[in-house]
Amino acid sequence: MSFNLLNIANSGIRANSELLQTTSKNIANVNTDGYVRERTEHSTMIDNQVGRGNTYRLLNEFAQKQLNRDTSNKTFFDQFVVESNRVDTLFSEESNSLSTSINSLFNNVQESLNQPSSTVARSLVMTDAENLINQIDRLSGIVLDQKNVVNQQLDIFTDEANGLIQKIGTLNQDIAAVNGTNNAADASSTFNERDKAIRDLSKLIDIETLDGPNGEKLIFMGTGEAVVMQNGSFNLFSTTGDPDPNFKELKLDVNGGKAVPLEVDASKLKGKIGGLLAFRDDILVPAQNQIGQMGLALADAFNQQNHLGMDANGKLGGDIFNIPTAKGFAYQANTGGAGVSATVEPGKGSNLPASDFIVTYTANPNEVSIQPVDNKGEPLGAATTATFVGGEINSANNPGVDLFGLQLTMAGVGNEGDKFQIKLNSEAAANITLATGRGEDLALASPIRTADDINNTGSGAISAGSVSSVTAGGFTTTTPPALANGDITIVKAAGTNDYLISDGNGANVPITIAPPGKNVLAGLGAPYDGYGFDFDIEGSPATGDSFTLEFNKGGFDDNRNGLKLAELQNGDFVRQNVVSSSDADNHKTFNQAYAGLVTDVGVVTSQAKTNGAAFDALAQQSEAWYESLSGVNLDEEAANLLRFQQSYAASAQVLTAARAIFDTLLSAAR
Amino acid sequence: MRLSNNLMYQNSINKILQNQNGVANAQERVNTEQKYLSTSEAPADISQAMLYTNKIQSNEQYTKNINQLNGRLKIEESVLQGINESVQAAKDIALKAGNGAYSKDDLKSLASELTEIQKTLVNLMNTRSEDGKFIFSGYQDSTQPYQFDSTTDEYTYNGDQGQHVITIAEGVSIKSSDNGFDTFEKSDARLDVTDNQAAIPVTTPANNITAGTIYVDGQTEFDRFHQENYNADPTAAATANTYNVVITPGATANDPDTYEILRDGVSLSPAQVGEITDEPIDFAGMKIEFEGAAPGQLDFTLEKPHKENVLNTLQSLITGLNDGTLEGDDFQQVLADGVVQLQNASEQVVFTQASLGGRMNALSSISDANLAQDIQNKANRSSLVEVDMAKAISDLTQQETALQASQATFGRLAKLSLFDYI
Repeated sequence: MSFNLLNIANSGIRANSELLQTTSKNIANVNTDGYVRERTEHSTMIDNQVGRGNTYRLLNEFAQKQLNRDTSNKTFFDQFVVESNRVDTLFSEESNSLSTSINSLFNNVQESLNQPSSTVARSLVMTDAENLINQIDRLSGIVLDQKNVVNQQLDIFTDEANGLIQKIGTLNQDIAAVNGTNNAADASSTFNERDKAIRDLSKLIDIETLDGPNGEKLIFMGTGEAVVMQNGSFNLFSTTGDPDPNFKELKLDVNGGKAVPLEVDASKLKGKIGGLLAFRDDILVPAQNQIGQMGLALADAFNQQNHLGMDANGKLGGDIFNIPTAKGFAYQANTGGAGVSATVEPGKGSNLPASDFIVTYTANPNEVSIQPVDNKGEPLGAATTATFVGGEINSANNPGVDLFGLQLTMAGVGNEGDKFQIKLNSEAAANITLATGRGEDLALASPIRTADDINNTGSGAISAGSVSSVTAGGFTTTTPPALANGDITIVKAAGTNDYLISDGNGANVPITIAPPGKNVLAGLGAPYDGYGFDFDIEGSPATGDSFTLEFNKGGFDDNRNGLKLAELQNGDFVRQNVVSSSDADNHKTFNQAYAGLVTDVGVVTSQAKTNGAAFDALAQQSEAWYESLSGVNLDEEAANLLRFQQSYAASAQVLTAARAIFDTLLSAAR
Repeated sequence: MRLSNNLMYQNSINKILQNQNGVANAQERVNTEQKYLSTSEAPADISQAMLYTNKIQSNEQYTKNINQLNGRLKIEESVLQGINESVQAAKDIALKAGNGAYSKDDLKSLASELTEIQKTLVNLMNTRSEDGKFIFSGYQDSTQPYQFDSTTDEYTYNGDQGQHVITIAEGVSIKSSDNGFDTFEKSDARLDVTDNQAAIPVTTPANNITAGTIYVDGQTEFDRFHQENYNADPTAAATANTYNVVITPGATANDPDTYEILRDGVSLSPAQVGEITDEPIDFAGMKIEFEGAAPGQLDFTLEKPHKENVLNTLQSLITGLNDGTLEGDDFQQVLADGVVQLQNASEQVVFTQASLGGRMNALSSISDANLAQDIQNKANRSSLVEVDMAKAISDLTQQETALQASQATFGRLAKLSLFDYI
């Protein structure tokens, strides 16, 4: 009996010290990351002794999975919001506003219109044009910097994720080795470490876990690809840019890199990596494209209008801005030796959408398809098929085809299916330069002027005239230029709508001009309709009245073309959508486009913030759920400590009692 | 629910961080007077405000343009006023010269007075703007519009018909100058016949008329006749505007001679016939006289309507007054030219002045509208993105209180531990 009592006391002391040990372990690890609260339980053995203690981790697998999932979502939005907030704040800054630069440029154009022959006002316009380019450059620089940061961060996160994947694989093997053996309980730190690695991985990408044999955990990406498999084998991520080496995509190398890497769908990724990629695709790419598009549209519109005027040197206007050319990125899978470069076709800047393009060779060796793609690489609308003549694709070679404002130059021979990615918009923003810094090159005057004869008796008058093209053949290319067909004289003849026209194409040619006499030359047909300029005869001229049109020699106070330049500010030049019906209002003004860009960034950021707050709350809740079982509460441990101390003391007392009984027995037998 | 220590601390710290953020934001709002610190806080409001900012910035330029335009128009107005006064003074002198009491010397002194007026006018018509550009030369602002051409003995206009335009509101452009062509050149010359000496054609039977004169003495009547009958068709025959006065002897020696006026050999409708008396033939404000006997014919031609600028009108007048040999009808012709054409010149200037006044009216109403718009735009933008100071400050106080509360509760919570009691 007393012998048994000793045994019982002995087992009680052992059991209670085990309990105390677990409690101390819990207390000691209260601040250990990834530590799961443990509990030791005992059962009674047949001879009333306390059985062997069983220490296990208190873990709710469902809560753990939920926590991992919510963590992925939370870190996704955290990452996205942190990054996008920076861009959002920069774009909201008044001093960074492109609108201010645009307004300032056009204000100075107006100022120069007040005094067209003042060189001071003209040079102010050029200074402002320079400022505008710099502003575009700066804004796109901000975006480009962010892009570089994203590329670097992506590499770091990928390395981090790969490290965790390897670690989980190794720990899985360790766990398989001890699982089911007596040492399993001592291996709880290995379990903790692995679960922490899984949780860390869930911060980077979204994962699903599956219980494998022998306590292993198999890891899959949210989209289903296996990352950690049985027996410690695993797949790693890699980042490559195809075709643009500076635009990295996430790939999953399978079979130790011996097979073709799996594409990872960036749009479905969560976690920090997903947040980073989403930020790049949803904010950076569209922002840079839109800035570039605005710059190109503005430069092209300005150039084209300037061409239609006469500068302060009496010459026809030239380019004010240089529009850059972007080389297409060839895909690695291309088999031919072709190359492509793209720029904006002069005068077509308003057809350019804010997207990238994929140019693909078709079965016809002189034909490519041009497909605008969105920020995620998905096609926008239908592709255009364009033929090239002498390596050039432009609207002259492809009448009636929407080339999206592009002018492509194809070099070398391409095979069917060879693809190129064109990033004209994003490359352009930083590369627009001033073609001239001289204010005199601003073509504020119109190259033609009209006059009523002094002795006209009727109420008729000739309008100031408008120029639609200076290359159509109406002007000579000499210096100084002149009208190719000489001055035009129109004299009213006796018949109601009869007139006589005289110029290089014949003297006193009888014509009719019916009221209201709009666009006289266009109404006359060849050769007059090909001059590239036109005028109206308004009112009712009397017989014998004559009207003339001549080159605007010396007309430096003229600001008609300048007024048109100033009107560009309110003109619709920025294409909104790739796909639209023909009667839709598909263009915005520069200022609207910029406001739209800032708003887009703001809206996406704001959505992310709202979603982020929601997932933050969810993550907190699942953390609370998880912690409610697995977290250490010091008050609870304090109480346990007290309780186990007492029961240890009680067990010791049992030992004392057994010894007393034994002593009593000995002395009785003496 | 069971709470772990980690969670309790984490929650408290999260709350404190959150409130700190709130205080920082509220403070930023008070400091910058901006309602929103980034676009994402209110994308719609901010994009709207950006568009208002654009309007405000454009309006600033329009205001500058209005000031510039206003200055130009005022200068032009005062110049035109001066020109008109000079022309009126010249006209008074021309009328005075018609007074038969003046001697030749008197006329010469009138001529020298006119010369001074002419000089003044040349200066005024060649007025330059503040930056040294000629204001009446159209687009050719570095070309002096009026210069004396010694080969033709005339003042010629060297500018063009260009009109400089300034935009003063979106879609509203106003002419900021008037060219000399519209203001000075377009003034009508007095309508007349090509030559006061009639042409004596060779006819069969022989033309017995030896000479003839045609003078316009009823200008109003003649003007009407000229306007109704002048054939300006460039394809018309060269003689389309030639009138023939055919003199026919009377049927008997006692009958007076008769005349008929034909146009290019064709009778007029109704036929213009009459008897020759001692008085000159009076036809449509013209006084026709001839020497010689019937039968015969004399021709005259209506002058093509043309324009004459005020400087040349004065030039002819001065020459006529200085001539000293002109007598009677010929002298009257010179004076008539002067008076009529100076009146026309004055009317043309007044016409330009009227349009100038209209533009200045438009300018002032647009200027008011711009101002009103500006105020409205600024108010709208302010209500969209500018902070209400009272609200911002009360927000700041509220956030501070929340932060203090969360800090205080953290302190209390941290102090609670069962270990302190065992």
